[in-house]
Amino acid sequence: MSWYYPKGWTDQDDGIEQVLIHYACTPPGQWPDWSWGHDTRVLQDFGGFPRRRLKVLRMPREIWDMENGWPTPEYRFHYYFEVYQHGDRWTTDLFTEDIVYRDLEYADTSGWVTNICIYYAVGDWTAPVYSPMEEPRIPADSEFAATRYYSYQDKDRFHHEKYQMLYGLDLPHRFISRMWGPRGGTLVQQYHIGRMYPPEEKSETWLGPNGPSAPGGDNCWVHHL
Amino acid sequence: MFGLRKSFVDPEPGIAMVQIHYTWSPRGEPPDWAGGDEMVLAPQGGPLRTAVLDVPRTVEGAPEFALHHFFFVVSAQGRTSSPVFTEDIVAREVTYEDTAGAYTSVGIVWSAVEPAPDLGVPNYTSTAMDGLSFESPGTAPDDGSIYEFVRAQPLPHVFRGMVWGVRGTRISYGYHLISNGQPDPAANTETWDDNGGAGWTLQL
Repeated sequence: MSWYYPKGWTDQDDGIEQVLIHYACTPPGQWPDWSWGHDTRVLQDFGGFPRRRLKVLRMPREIWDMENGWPTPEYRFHYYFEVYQHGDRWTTDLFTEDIVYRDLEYADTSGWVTNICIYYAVGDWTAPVYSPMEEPRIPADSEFAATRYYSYQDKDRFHHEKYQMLYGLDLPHRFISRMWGPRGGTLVQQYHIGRMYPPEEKSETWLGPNGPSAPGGDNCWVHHL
Repeated sequence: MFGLRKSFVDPEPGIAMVQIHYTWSPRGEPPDWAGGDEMVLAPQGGPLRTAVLDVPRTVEGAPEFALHHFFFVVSAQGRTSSPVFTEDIVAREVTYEDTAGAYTSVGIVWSAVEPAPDLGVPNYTSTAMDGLSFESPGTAPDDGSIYEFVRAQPLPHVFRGMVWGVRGTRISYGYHLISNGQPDPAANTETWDDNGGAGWTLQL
């Protein structure tokens, strides 16, 4: 699974025909070899004055560190913009950001929660991300692991079985998951919590510091990375 | 990768959130959802929600493959998942014939034809010229000294590049016409030809 990182551009001058973003990820402390390969995307033109452009980039939750032979969830994100203007082309400076993660834990002291996700986004709610949370005492290879929920065909069975698994665990239930973003940036965050079993008690909501609410909006925690 | 917009129309009021889950596989193989991804669809005003998926240009080396997706909908009535939709992603070649030898490189800017122009998702393909092998998908070539290589090829110069999309849909495209590496740098040019704003279209 991925997380999403919106990258925007505001035209500072007339005559800009297209803007591309070139980007690559490397392990910490390393630099990209642009000749070896990188990704390039065209920013979508949203119009306005000044004209705004945006591309939501799909980012990895880890990258492979060839020097050390292991995956790393924290890495560097290198990018520059290529601007086509007045029949010519120029590039911005190269920017490099450290991508870091933040682990969250949600302690359910009553046992009400059967399904929970972190709902978060970088900066504002332009590109929200779901990160399913799991109780670490649930085996990672369980058929009823949170990450398997969405593609599980028989949701009623999943709800029943997951409820029973959680019911057998001492309270509190501590659900954990991870979110990513650029160091120095901010994340807005809510929880999407639900009680999906028993059927007569089904209920779910998005939860912010001011209590239940709709997804997104101002009722959210803000994390500075 | 290329961007492909997917849309969902709320069938009733009160829908709080819609996710799209997606993955790809070689044609004829079932989806492996363990390697799948998800996005939250953004409301576009009214009942329309959309998301732009990042879709690879090749899967296991093949430019044509299967894209699978389903929607997960949270509403006041509960949670529902749509059936899984499997679509053929197909690739088609677009050519540009330069009869005068005016250009050293040609790019293709392309997008699936959407109901509204502002829903178009621009993608870029750098073409390869017949007789030359320079190609860098997704980006225009660097300023380079290919001018002499291009001039050495007989006219007309034919540039070829690929566009991708869902079988049965239409692609709109235009050309990025580049002439660089000229003896007089002031003679270098880059222009965009989108057929007077209408673009050209092809059926996949």
